[in-house]
Amino acid sequence: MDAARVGIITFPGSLDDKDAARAVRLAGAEPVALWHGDHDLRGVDAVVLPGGFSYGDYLRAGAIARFAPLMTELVAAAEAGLPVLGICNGFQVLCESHLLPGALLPNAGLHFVCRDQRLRVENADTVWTTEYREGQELVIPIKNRDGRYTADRETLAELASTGRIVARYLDLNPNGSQDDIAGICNEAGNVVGLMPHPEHAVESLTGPSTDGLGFFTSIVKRLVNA
Amino acid sequence: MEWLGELKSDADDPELQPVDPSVTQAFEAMLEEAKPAKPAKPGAAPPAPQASPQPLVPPPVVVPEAPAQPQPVIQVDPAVQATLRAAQPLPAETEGPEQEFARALAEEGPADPAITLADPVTLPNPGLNQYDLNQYDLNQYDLNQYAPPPVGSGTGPQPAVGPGTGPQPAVGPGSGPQPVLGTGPIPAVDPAASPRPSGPGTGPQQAVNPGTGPLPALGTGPLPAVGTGTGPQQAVGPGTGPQPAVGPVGPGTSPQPVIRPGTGPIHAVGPNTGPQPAVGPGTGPQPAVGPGTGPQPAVGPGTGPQPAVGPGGSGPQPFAHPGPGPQPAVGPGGSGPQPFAHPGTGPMPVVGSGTGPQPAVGPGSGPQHVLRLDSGPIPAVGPGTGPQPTVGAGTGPQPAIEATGPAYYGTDTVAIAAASPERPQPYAELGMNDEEYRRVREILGRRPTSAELAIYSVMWSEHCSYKSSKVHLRQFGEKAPKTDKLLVGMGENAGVVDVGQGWAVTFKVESHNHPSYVEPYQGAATGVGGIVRDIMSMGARPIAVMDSLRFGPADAPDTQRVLPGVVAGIGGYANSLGLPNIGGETVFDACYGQNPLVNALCVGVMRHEDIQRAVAPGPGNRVILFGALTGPDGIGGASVLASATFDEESHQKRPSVQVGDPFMEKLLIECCLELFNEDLVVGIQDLGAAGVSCATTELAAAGTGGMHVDLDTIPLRDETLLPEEILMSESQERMMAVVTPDKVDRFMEICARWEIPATVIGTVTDTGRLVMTWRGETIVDLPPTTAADEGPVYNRPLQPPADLGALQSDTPGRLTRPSNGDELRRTVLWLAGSPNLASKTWVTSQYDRYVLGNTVLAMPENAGVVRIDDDSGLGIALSLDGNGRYTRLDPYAGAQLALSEAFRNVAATGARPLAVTNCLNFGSPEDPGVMWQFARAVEGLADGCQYLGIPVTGGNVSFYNQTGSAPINPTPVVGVLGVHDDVRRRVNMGLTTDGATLALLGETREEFGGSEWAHVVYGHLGGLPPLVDFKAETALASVLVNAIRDGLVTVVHDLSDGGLSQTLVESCLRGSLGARITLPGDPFVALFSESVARAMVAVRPGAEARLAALCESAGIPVTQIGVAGGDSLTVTGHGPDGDQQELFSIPLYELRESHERTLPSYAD
Amino acid sequence: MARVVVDVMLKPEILDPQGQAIARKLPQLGFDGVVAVRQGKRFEVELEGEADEAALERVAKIAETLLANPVIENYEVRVL
Repeated sequence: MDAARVGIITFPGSLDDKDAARAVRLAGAEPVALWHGDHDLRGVDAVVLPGGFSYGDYLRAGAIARFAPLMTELVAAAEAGLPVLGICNGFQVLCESHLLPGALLPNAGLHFVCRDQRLRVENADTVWTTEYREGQELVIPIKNRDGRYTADRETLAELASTGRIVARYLDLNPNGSQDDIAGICNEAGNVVGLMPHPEHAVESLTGPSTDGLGFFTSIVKRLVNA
Repeated sequence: MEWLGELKSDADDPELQPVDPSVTQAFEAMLEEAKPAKPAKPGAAPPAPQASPQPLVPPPVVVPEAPAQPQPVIQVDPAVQATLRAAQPLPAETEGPEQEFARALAEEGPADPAITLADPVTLPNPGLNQYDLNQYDLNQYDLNQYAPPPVGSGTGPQPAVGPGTGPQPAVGPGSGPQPVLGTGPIPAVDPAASPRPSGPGTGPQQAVNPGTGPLPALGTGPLPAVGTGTGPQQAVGPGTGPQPAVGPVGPGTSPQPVIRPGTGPIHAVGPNTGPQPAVGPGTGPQPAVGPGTGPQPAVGPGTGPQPAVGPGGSGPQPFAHPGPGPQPAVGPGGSGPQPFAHPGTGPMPVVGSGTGPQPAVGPGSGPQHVLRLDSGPIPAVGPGTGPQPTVGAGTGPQPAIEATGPAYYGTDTVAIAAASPERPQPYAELGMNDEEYRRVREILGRRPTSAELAIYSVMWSEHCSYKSSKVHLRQFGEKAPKTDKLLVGMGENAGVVDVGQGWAVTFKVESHNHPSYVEPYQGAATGVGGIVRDIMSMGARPIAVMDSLRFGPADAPDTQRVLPGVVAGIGGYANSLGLPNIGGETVFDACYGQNPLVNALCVGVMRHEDIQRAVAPGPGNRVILFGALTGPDGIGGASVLASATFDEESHQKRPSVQVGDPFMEKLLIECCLELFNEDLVVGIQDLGAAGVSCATTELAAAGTGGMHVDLDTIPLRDETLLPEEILMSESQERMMAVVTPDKVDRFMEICARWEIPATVIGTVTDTGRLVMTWRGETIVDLPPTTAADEGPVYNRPLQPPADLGALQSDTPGRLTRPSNGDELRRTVLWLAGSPNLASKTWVTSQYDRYVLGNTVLAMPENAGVVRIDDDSGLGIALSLDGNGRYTRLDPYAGAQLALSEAFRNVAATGARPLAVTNCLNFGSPEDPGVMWQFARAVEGLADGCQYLGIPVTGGNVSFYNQTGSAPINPTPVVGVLGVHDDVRRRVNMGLTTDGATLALLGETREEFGGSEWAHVVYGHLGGLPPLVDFKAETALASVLVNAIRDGLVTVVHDLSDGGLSQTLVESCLRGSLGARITLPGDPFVALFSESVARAMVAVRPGAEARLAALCESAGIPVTQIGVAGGDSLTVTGHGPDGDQQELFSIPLYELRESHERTLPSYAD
Repeated sequence: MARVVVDVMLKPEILDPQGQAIARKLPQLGFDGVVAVRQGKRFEVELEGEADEAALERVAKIAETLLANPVIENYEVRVL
């Protein structure tokens, strides 16, 4: 059986692409490096938009990366159901390209925050979260400067009522996100945006836990069973 | 509080024995012995007090290697004499108001030393009436008219130089007060000894006065030697070469030579010397003035920057004539009458970044004025140069510059330079002294072009040439322990060590202190950028950063300005690069109030075969500049050379703060790694200080020796830049590579993929010359090694600080100690919440520690640990430590204690220490006390590394960290790198296992000198720091490494600042588990002493015997002190009445609250 | 050459902690009576040709597409 192939897009300034690749590998899939400047998704089964400072976060985080050549193909594929996980900067790119609603603003505390963050899984049905159960508590690093999720009232209400909030912060909201939102998904549930970094919680040697591995094993399972 | 606890007889208590003041003498004695001085045995205590105390005598100024040769004879060339005689004063009709005024002064007669300068108008000041350097009347300058000042220290007109000024003047490195230049052949000053610092016995200089007949040889005849009680110095006429330095003159010496127009920089005059040379027009920087000095030199029109005047009680200030350069800054607090600033006088000196002693701008220092271009060159400001006013990287407000008349001659080419040897050049304003300038002319066989002058001035600056520190830093090489692990040693961009399995690691720490004071965010950010590029240029992928930060008091307003910006800048830059921050330190002390320290470390990794060098081999290979465009960042001084229309608008485009672009640097990292991966580069250098000048000279010097560069090809952000400016630009995020012709296309392709500008700017040649062209003309043609490697070497005077004896005598033994459980409890909490010991989470949570996914340990753990190889678990550990207080008390020991702490921290994670880097942060090298501290610290560090068997692979020196005459505590920051064969075996510092046995390894002595307890509770600094014991450190390290490898211990935390108390606090809070402790001996000593070579461990159940055996065979005492568990820190020990009792119990939540609430309340 | 300015501000309902931090700082610096501060961005766009209606429209399109995020920001365009 061929391993599932998960693409990871590198933009100029992407930082956690190799870490995402490691997580994919640990989950049993094959990471495929994708270049922002190409128009080729190389037939991958899923795509991760990794964390980092694409284009230096110039203008707004993710504002320029969303116009990268490869994003044309990615948006089309996502709208057609391709599983896409946007982590941190990736989440920002997804919002800027309107694959997800809302926007990410500077942290309320106006500082970059790196901490081991407790989360609660709110939706364990997306392709990226099936390995968790609803209500499960995780400890996953969060590390960003512009992580405050915001959306208008209607959108927030809709997200909450349709179960599209994927994860919420517990104990402490590190950035002032509305409704303590740490991650959301689109209507179809194939596109997930997450501010914390699950790829940094996949080995007990280097992370606060291995709680993040579930995001990657979920997609592997889904792809293998597809 | 009464002192209770175990009473000792005073005879037994080392803390109560006042250190004999002759300890200081012992240091001196060591210095005075024939070099090399006997090094103290590494690990030995500083010299013990003498058995029979000797009276304290004022220490003489000691200049190691001071030559004893007779002074050369100055002969006056009769032809020159005739020319000089024929010189006429400027005709009256060309005199402007300034000249007229000056002439009026000159006609008033000779200086009367007794005149105070309260009324500036009456200051006699010969030689002010000319701007034309070639015209003057020597007869006015007969210094024999001066009466010697009364003898005695501090009486009469004192020379303008006090402590802290040394051989250098207030402006520019190495441009110190020079003796007046005489006419005729230059006395035989040995160029290799350039510039000779002031030293005793250098003898007076003679007036070279036409018509005075044959002059006696220096040092003979009626002129006294320069030294205590020496007589008047002689005036020396204009147009002569550099003179030997006038030695530090003892109290009551006579006036110094008058400086005539056209003379170059004057040698520094030692403390308590007589009136300083008056300076005529067109002269170089004036001597800096220390406190307590007498009348300052008057400065004529068109002169360079004025002397700075030290704070506190200086005599009358220099009179600043119309049209001179920037005014002397006047120190705060009681300086004498301020300089009178005429209209048209230049801007006030501003405290700048990266610069030498800054004139403090005190009250009454006068208005700012438009600096007219013809009133003298704008003082150059560059990184690391001496005191600078104004323009340049990171300096304060800039003077408004108004161009008034052409002083611009068009592009200065080699041909023009050869044809116009007599053209005056503003080398002094660029920070060169006369001797250095003369050497350049000698090297080139003609005067340098403006561009060449720019290159030499910046390459020979303190920052680039290490001229004040080289003689001492040699010890790192000379005493380097033999090890085959060192793949690249000192002298390269960074050292490289072999860590096994074919992997090599490169690491280095660097400072960016002054810029961070001026613009905290960008100063710190660009500091990170610079050190990362150093690592990249070795061929490595950077994998982690660390930072060591020092600020003024935590609650000081300025700290609240600087700290958040620095932290945000470091985080902002490194986070954007994707480099995890794995550790460091944040320290608060009043001495850093206006001189914060920002030391940034970067570590990188590569395979052995990927090591790159900064060489330019192979004639025909191409030189490629890639990275950001070149703009007017930090060029300051180059404007002096080249400015044609230096008007308001052009002035505005000289950014004084370099702005970093981490995105560009991230692209550079990825691009470089691809270039290295495809083997496209044969030599590479990053551009830091001195930009293109440095990169080209260093690459060329290290390679085949020649290079041809076409400056027109350099891609510019600002098309109006002149070639001199291009050469000195410090635009960030640029690299220079040497590429074989066949690989250039592929090189360019990769750069294009990453959207990085890249341009072929030149070719390697075999001519042994660095040649640069501009618009088709050759403007640089010099031998690159002379700029890159053969800069001046100073041997500055050393002298223990005058207050050191008293400081060491003031032991903390006299301080009242906590005497019962309640007081101990309060002290534990007090220390745990004190700024230096409090939790730094507010700082460290602004740093990404996770990126790259290889961080195994980060702050607040003992050391940062990073995995290198996913499969084998190979990894490294790094710790960065320093202690300014220890070093202040004893620089030799203090440096060794910093080394000990970093060494211990690395071993505490289970890694084997392997190599050392260091950042040496000190005050002004012109202060003999500071220089002595530096020399001792370097010696201590070199000796320590030799003993420990770990070489120094590279580092950085930061001088001039001082405000006025108060230097920072000498602060050597030491980074130790260690290797983990398998990082999975490492241990943490947090208590996590309920019931685990806690043991204390090492010996505790009663040592509180420089301790956190004395500092926090009493604000006390005195006595001696803890005894260094490298033997015990190595024994402890071996126990820890073995015990960890064998799984005998589950937790390790070393003891350092705050002693066992702080170690317990940190381990309990880190693991959220309490402990029940029983203290041996005196509880206060057990808790707060800061003896070295100690660690606390949690023993794996069942491994107690093996651990004990390990300790015994290593000679390390081990004591069980308690058990982990519970939710409190509970401590039992000898109570006031001697019985064992529970002394105190602190619940973890209370401990946490104390420990964690401090920092956020001081900052944002 | 036309120079057009685009002012971008957060929508009024969006929390602006940067503006708030600035407003908090002002009294410490001796400036009283400041009720609120909101922080935005200003872009200066240089176009070939005249600064006419068409130019303004083009810049508005640029603003809409890139310079502002319409989810959270409003913008205004005017000739400099």
